[in-house]
Amino acid sequence: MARPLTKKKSSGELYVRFGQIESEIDEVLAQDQATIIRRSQLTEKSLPEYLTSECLVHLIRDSIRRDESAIYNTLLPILLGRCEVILRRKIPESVPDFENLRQQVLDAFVLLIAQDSSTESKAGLDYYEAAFNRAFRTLRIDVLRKYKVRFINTVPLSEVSNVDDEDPGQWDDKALQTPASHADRMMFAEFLDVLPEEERRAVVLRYVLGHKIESIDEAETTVATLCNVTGRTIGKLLKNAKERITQLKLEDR
Amino acid sequence: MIETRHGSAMPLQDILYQLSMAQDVPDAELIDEFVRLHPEHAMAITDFAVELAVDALRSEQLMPAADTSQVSPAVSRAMSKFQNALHGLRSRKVTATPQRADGPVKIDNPFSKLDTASFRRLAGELKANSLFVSKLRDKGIAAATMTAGFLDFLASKMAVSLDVITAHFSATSATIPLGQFHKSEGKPEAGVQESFEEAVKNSNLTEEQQQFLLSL
Repeated sequence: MARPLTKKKSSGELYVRFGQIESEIDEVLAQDQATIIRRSQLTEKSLPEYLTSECLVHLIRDSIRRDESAIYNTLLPILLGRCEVILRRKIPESVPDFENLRQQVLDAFVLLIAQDSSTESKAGLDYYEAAFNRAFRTLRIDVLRKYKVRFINTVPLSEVSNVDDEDPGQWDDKALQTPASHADRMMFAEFLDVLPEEERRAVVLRYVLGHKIESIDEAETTVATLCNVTGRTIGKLLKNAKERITQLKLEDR
Repeated sequence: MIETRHGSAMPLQDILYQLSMAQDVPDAELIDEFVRLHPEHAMAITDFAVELAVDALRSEQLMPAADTSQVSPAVSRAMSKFQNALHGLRSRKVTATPQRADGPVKIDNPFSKLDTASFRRLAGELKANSLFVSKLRDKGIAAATMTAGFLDFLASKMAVSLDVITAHFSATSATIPLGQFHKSEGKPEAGVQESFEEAVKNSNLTEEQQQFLLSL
């Protein structure tokens, strides 16, 4: 039987695996080493014997704890190969220093795995057994975020001094809203990456995540409260972002 | 719905995992919940949520299957890093056992090699101050509360291996180094440890310095 997860949510509730993953792990734990290795090499997700990444994480953790190097030395490169596919898609060659960033994510992941067997482990790999792709994106985004902090000068957002005495809502424009089609969303994401950090943050909070620009209710979380500036400053940032994106769209035609 | 509890002691790393695990794409309501639950990390949560949202814009295409027949150079390098880390951790376990029977075995304190100027230079490179580095030197910070990212960063700035850093922090309780300079009014007290987050907050660091160290 699969070892229960121990990581808890803020509510105190334990993380659990999906029932299908639980059954898959139970099944594979009863199989011999040769079968496990053969199954791990299947690449077609539609095959009934395909092993999910959640299951691979479980097997790798267990084999490290039991010091079964033949298993973890076979399964870990397969799991890392899957991670690499995700990274090629998520950190494309258009991203500066893409190779180094992909490597940093892989390295951070293997360190997490190595540390899992130590007494100092905080069961961080439980997240990967519960929902691998969501957990791995956390690590990936965290590495990219730290890279930005270290190598790109991000300054805290300050009030824009020359804001006209205008209603910030006037820049609440449909031109900045998340497009419906996949291709347009991909292009929108590329445009966002070109914006200065503070404009990008304002656009995403307003138009992708759906926060209000500001509110008369001081307790309400808005783009302005999250960025710790006034609604007018956010309005100015959205105006600038709209102008930049409009220009980019024209250049893209 | 997440239970409302202000100022939790949960490490930032766990908060970010939980935010990411909660929904495929976060929305305003979810971010609001997390910010209210962990106001001390509001900025980090917001930045992370922005990245999650942008990431989701790119995520809807089917990914090709991984080719398991060949191991790429990047995977080889990661495997090598994994083997080194695992070996380092296991070596620590092996050497730790006889130490208890024969009395404490000396583990070199990598900070003891630093003179005053190097010590201050390190503080600057870490975007911290001398007080915070003193806490690191004196093992005044609980090792288990330090993030892997911070340990890695510290090792790179001190130009020593991660093993040296982890061995220093994992050596039993806090110790008072001999022959070291102490700027505080009293000598540091052995055995009293702060969490990494407490140490960052209680070391007279600027908001920017705190945010940087906690983001590692």
